[in-house]
Amino acid sequence: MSTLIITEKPSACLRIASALADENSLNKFEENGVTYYRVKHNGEQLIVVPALGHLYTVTQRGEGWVYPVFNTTWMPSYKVSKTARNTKTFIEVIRRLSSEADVFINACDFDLEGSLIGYSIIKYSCGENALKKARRMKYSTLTKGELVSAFKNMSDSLDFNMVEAGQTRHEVDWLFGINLSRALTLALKNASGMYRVLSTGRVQGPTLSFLYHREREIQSFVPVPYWIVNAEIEFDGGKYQLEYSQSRIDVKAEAERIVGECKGKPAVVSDIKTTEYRQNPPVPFDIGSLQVEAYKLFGFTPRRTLNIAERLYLEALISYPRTSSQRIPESINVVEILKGMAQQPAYKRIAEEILSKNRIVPNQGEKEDPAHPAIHVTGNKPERELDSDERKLYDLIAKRFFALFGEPALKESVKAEIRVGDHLFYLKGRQVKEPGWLRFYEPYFKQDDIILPPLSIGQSLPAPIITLDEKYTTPPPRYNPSSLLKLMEKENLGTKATRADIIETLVKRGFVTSQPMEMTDLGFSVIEVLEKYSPSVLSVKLTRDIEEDLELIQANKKTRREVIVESINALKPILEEFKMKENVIGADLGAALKKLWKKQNYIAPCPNCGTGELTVIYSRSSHKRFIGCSNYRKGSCNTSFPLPQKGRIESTDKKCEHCGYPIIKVFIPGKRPWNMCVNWLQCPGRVEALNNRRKTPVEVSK
Amino acid sequence: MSCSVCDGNVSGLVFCERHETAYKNIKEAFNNWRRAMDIEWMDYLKRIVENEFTGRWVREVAEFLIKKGINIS
Repeated sequence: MSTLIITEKPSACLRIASALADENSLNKFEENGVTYYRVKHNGEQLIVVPALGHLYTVTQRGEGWVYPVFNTTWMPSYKVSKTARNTKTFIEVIRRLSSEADVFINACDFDLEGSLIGYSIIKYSCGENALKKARRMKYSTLTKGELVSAFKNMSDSLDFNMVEAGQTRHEVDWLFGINLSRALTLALKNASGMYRVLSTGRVQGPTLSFLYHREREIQSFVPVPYWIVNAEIEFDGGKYQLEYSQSRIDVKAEAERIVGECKGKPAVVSDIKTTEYRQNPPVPFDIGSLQVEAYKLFGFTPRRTLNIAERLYLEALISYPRTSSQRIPESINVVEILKGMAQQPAYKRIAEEILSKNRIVPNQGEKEDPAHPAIHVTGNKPERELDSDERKLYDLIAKRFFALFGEPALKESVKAEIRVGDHLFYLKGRQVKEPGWLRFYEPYFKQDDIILPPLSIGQSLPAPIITLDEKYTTPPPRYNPSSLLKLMEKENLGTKATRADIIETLVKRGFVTSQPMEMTDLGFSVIEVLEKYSPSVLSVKLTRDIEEDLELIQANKKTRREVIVESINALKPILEEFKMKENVIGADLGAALKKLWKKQNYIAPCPNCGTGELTVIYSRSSHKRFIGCSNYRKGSCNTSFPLPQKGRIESTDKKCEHCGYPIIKVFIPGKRPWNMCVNWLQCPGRVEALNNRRKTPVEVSK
Repeated sequence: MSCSVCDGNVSGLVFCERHETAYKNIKEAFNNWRRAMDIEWMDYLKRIVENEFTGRWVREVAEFLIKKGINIS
């Protein structure tokens, strides 16, 4: 008999099989498109087979698209969702191979999801009895050394507490998500006859609620004027900006008086303060801080960063990315990693410099994750050429890893007090004296030094040029994917694995626009309905309580059944009220949806007739879309433009620089959005574009 | 009765809840503007309509007040 090893994905399967295979014992098999491996490990026969993420999922027991539904069961994913059709052959292959095995190993990623994926495959595909003979491999990188060690030291049974917590998370999320989403969708359908999937959930609701409250602040904001006194001084061959001691002045007359009193007056240095301070190296990346940094530096959305990081992890180039740890434990051999990195020409110099130090200890953060260390490079060399995004993220993770070993940077700031008449100004300078870790983190750390000429107390300087700037208070900024993710982390909403998906869902459902994340009328309406009829599902408390319950399940202090019953008891009265007020709720949602559709399809005023509106229209006969003028039906304007048939179209405020027609933005999944002139067939800019051998409609600007 | 600015349900005297909030903010901010400079109500409304930082609901209410020539109450 053999040992059957279940892995989470096909790429991890090959890594694990290769790591465990004795020399020349790796044999590849393919069955109905599923590739698996038979290997010998220390003479023992192993079958290493992949899953495709979750092969089983929670679903409704019984039929009907109704609510409330509280009876759940676990089923093969392909029976529940059309998009999971390709999982069927994986189940069949695993089921057949399980008959050859007497030991079963869950070698999926070591987290709640991985524990649950492996458990449900062993339970439902290999049989209940297999659970008694099942064991768990735990690892944080897919490197050969760690995988061999994880196999040698695996636990004698599955991690049932994690499995139970994972099951509970899926079931509770399903109960909230399905019931509330159906309540919203059916209210809309039954009251207005319109159909659109509206969704909410125990994490999605509070997240949308944050966006809602921020948007309300922005839309009801009134700017108030204030004034800034500026001064520029020219001496020693340079021009320097002085800051007035009062950063803003709220009364115009007072600001003008200050300017009047300073004009033409010489400046005198009255004091100089020089401060030196040390800036410690950064802490290691957890997934949240990596997502925030990648957004700041490269503009990657959190979802995109997670996808790239997962690819790098599956190539054994970095450690497991879905971690909330900011610590590199002593058990990780950082010297070996640095030696590995020194084999790559791009990192040779830095890695060798760190290796030459007497003390090689990384700086540590505070956050810990019992399952995984902070994200770090493994020291392995890429086996293929990384694409541009992968290269960027890998370099960022590598440089961050190096920076952990650097010395604190020494910085100096200078603040000179300058008197102009009776008024006080500041002249500020700053520079890096010793870069320390900053050198290892280049080019991701930037500081523009301002080096001041030598100054002395009592020194007279020429009269500065004084000006007055009128400014206005500004509303709070809209959230972007990165700041929203940070907030979710702070509020403990969702998990490191789900936050990025939740943010994308809000955009996909039409509740917010993508960039900037501006609330739509539909988003407003959904939150207002939920605030009125089920405010608890928008509260951070509910979802926090459930997260705490999941931790209690993992610690064996609470049961899955208890948490499910509590969730059902919380949901029942909400759903009853929804049912009773379905007509009112549905009418509100319907009105908002109509506004959204109108807004989504609106492009610009018609440039030809001047009175109509250009909108996206779907042909009844061909079902193809194009842009047409709203006056077409009146017979007064037949302006129309063809459109790309794929992707999402958004209007912009821009006009084409070549022909003056409106510019639209096209979003196609997997491609960078681009701007396009609606008149691209006739636009003179297209000729230019064709000359540049572009085959697509004229790209105006990125 | 519907809001004088949009079709929403009236929550105060003439506006829906969103536009009522905006109206309240306009009145409150007028005190700050008056403290900051010598300005009359109508000029103030025009200035906030033109300002890039003004919220959409505030702009809609300010435009309505200008159009109807409504003075601060």
